[in-house]
Amino acid sequence: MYIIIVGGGKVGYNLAKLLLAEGHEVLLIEKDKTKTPGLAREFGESLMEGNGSRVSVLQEAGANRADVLVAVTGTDEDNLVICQVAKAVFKCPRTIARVNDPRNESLLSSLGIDATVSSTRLIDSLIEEQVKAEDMIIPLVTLRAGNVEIIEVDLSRSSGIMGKKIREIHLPEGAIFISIIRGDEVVIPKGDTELIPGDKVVALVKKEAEQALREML
Amino acid sequence: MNIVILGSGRLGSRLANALIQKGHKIVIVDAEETKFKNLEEHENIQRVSGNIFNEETADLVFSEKADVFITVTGSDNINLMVAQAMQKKYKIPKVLIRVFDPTLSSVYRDLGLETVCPTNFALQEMLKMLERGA
Repeated sequence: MYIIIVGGGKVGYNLAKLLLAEGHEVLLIEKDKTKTPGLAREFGESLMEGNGSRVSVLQEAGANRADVLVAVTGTDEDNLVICQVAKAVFKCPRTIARVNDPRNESLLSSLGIDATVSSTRLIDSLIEEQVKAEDMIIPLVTLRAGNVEIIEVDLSRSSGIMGKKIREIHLPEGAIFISIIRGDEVVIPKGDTELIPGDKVVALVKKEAEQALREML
Repeated sequence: MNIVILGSGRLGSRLANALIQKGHKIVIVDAEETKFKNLEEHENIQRVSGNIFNEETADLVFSEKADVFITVTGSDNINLMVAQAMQKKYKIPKVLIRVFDPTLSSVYRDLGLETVCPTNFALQEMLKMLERGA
């Protein structure tokens, strides 16, 4: 498949790497001239400098033959316009937009974008799973207040929590596991989930608790 | 008519001042309060400073049924997104959108939106002036 990705931030960068590794033809478009030299070293011909919400840039990118266009810039209005232009002008069969502000999700879907991805919403639903599983109440709003972050840690074999069940682990105050990445699978942690070698844990943590959590893992 | 204007810059504030002279009621929205400095003091101009993407702000702005919504912020993409969002949510009969990029402007016209492109106007005007002079 030919896939165009607009936005060379963390999401776009990792998506491009993943899709190239899977053997797809990929073009990553980034407008920020301070970012493009670094990206060009990594992606070579698969990187294009330009503003993806310009028709001429998408034209040059060959949007008319793209199977999928993914807009993952940090601004929702740009992602919307990029996808709408790809659809209207270049008849792109599938457009996917990243939604930065979850309040915009329904709007983008209603305006003809084929799929939307909201990381905030994704995390919310992961946490809700956890809440259901453990019957705890977590104020979801704090996530938006900004004092929390999500970290991913490879568990070392010597980690003190290796082989333990979630319910046996005493996490520092202000930290919670939201998922465990095991091979290609995402495991939603429950009380009886056991941590095994090779696991990566994704945790939601208050800034002040991060150090304590990392030491524990 | 009840007219809502987003963006109180050079065009937005002049539009508001001109439209009250014609007897319309204006609600004008801008994220920065300082942008209201060129507006006339008039009972028919209501100023709202805030982010229209906030639901409370949008509900306040459209609390009275709007006949027209005009988006004239400095960003084409913001104008296009807000226009489509508010048109959908508040069922506004007429929405005018400023789009600086002529290509983008015609793309959205083809999609049925009423866009206004200042670049195109300047182009037409200059061509006319040159023809007259020639």
